[in-house]
Amino acid sequence: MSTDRQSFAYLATAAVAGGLFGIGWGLAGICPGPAISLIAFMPQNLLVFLVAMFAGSFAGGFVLKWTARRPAIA
Amino acid sequence: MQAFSPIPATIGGLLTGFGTRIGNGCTSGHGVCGLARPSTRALVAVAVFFPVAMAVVAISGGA
Repeated sequence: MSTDRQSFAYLATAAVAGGLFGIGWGLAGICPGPAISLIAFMPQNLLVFLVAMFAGSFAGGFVLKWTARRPAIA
Repeated sequence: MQAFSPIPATIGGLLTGFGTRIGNGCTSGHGVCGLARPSTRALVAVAVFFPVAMAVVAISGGA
């Protein structure tokens, strides 16, 4: 694992975002992949989760646009 | 098929979408693909969101 291009802020962003995602994952009980695949079964209120998930994703996109983008190293 | 409660689904959905967008990955992206690469950022993200989710489930008593 190379660390030359990975700043502290880069990893701290992943940690903070992971914390937010962890709270959401624990509350809802599903993460994005199962949420999409559950469309096949369409349990009650799944669409509530999906709409909220995409709304949160759009909000995150705006936050990323407003803040300085770091080079994306996956 | 288990139904979702509206309020946890809304709050959890917003946080899930926001967190995965900001963190550039979810359980599949960071946990499955990222750890296999291996990516330091994926390890950091997984090391945070797994315990946090477990704690939230333990506190809230399950979804």
